[in-house]
Amino acid sequence: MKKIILFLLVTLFINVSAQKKIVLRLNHFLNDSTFHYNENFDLDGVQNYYTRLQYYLSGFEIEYDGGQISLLPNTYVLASGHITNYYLGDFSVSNVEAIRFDVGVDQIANSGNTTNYTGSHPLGPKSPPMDWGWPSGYFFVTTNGYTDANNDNNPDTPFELHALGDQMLSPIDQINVNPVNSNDTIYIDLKVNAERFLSGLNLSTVGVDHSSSTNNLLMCNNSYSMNVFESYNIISSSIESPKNNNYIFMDYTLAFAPTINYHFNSNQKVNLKITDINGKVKLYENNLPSEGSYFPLKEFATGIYIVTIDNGLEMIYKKFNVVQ
Amino acid sequence: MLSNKNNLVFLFLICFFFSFDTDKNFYLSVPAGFPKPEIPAENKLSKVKIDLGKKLFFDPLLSRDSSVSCASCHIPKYAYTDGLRTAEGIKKRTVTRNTPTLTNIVYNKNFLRDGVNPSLEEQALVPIHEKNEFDFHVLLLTERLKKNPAYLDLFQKAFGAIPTPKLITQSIASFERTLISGNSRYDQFYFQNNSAALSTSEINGMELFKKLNCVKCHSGFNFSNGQIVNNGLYENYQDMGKMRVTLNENDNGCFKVPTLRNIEVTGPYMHNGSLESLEEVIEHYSKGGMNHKNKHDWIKPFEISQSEKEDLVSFLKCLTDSSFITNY
Repeated sequence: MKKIILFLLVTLFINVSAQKKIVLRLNHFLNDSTFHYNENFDLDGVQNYYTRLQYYLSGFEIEYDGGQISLLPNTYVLASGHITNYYLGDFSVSNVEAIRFDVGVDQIANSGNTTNYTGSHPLGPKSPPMDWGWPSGYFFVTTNGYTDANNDNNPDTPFELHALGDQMLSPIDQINVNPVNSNDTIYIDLKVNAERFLSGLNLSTVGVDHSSSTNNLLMCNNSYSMNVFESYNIISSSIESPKNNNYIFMDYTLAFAPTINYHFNSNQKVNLKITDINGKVKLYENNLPSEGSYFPLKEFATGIYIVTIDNGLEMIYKKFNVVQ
Repeated sequence: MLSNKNNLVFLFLICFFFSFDTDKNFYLSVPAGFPKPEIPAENKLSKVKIDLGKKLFFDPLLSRDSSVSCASCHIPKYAYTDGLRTAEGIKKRTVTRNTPTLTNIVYNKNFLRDGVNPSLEEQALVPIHEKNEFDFHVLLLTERLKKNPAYLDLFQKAFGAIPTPKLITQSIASFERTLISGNSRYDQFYFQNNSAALSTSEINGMELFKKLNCVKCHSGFNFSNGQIVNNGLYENYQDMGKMRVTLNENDNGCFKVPTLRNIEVTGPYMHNGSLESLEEVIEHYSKGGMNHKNKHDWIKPFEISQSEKEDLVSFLKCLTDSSFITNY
């Protein structure tokens, strides 16, 4: 009998203290429609579209198991509009009740050097860059795109806001969450109202602004004042995610080395292949995440290439140009 | 025997003039009159690291099309400037600012013309990424170096590791920290007690340098107080200087006070290379500069005769360290 009780206690202890992966799912939307680059969205009666949306999250706190608080001081997320899943770490928790974080990077990390990290770390060197080399420091939020400046329903005026400076750090109040709890993973779902980053900005006049300007400050502050981040229940949500929205979107910030943004709906790992126009394989990677920004660490000659991404069941491909 | 004696005297003099650091891991010879420079604890110097940094510094492999290196703009014979108004990057692209000297950069606390970059290691990334300079990416550069057996060997010797962005920047910064210049005729006169090293005209010029308050900004052993100020070059600045980063109107037109060491060979002058000669620079300051609300209070008009100008220029030219610009 004693042995049975001991066994039950040990089992209970293991269950309570078992490590679980915590994955933050940032479900990006544009006016309640699934986020896509290059697709028009309305903001205060003006048509716009994004070609880039990236931002840092840091200073995470999670509330779990009846009000206990855990700080995640060394966890950084580099979020992109087309990427949903962000692994926060393994924790001995059984349920998460709330989350809070800051948009941007804390002062200590912001005074550091990108080369202190590997390219795969959120704070490491990126392409397109998430830091400004001159004064150092990270871009807390980057939004690139086009706006309709002349009311012809054709967004053709570019805007490029890259916010930097410690004062841009924007704390997000605690958000109560309804996580999806699987055997080994807790998924924390948030809705990201991506269009709200740009609320109140006159996009037709901001131009290219990489600085600590009032426009960039407003963009960062919008993340809390305009409730960019909200609780989201992926199961009961009335917003239905469209099916088969797997896609590839190229970023040509470096024309000689474009970055491949891709998104698969399923969570299965993917293979990525780059071939030249004659079908010769130039690069092959397997076991990549189902969504991401892939910067090919290879020097390509000027020409046309095709990137093919597949997960064994589905395949997508896109042609892209390299200009040396 | 006499020859041996001479050799001993020579060695004694060398030891007298240059106070070599006793730390065998320091690798810098500090000239007489100079303070011991601070080396970041996270990037201590080593001989192999310095050698690797030097190889990288002179290697055009660092630019996208392998056409320009750090040394394309930081040419030793011009005290690590390039003699151009503004520098040229790959494909003859024009950089917006004049190339700053690397003379005694180990003593600098901030980097770039406007002093907004906080470390020499981070500064090394700027030209690699700038479109008008190397137009490359440090991750691609790292891959390029990984495929180069000579570099693989050097990185292994210097760090026991393969190339990484951090090790690349640390190596380059280590080499740059060795670029110490302190053996000009001024140094021989002032710090090495050689009263014959300067002519009468040069000594007159040195006195004028103090009397006209040039020494207020260009102070200390390195002829720079390290401040970032507006020197009244323009009423309206196309290049906002430090303000480009801070967006603070008080920083408009503010640039770092450069060292005057080796000034003879680092022209054209000013942040944009707009003044061709030292005579033009003196002319600018003698007029008190242009009106600008941020102009430093110390910049005021002064009277100077033609012969005094010549003396002042003579003095500035005695700050040239010929060994620094020829032995590298």
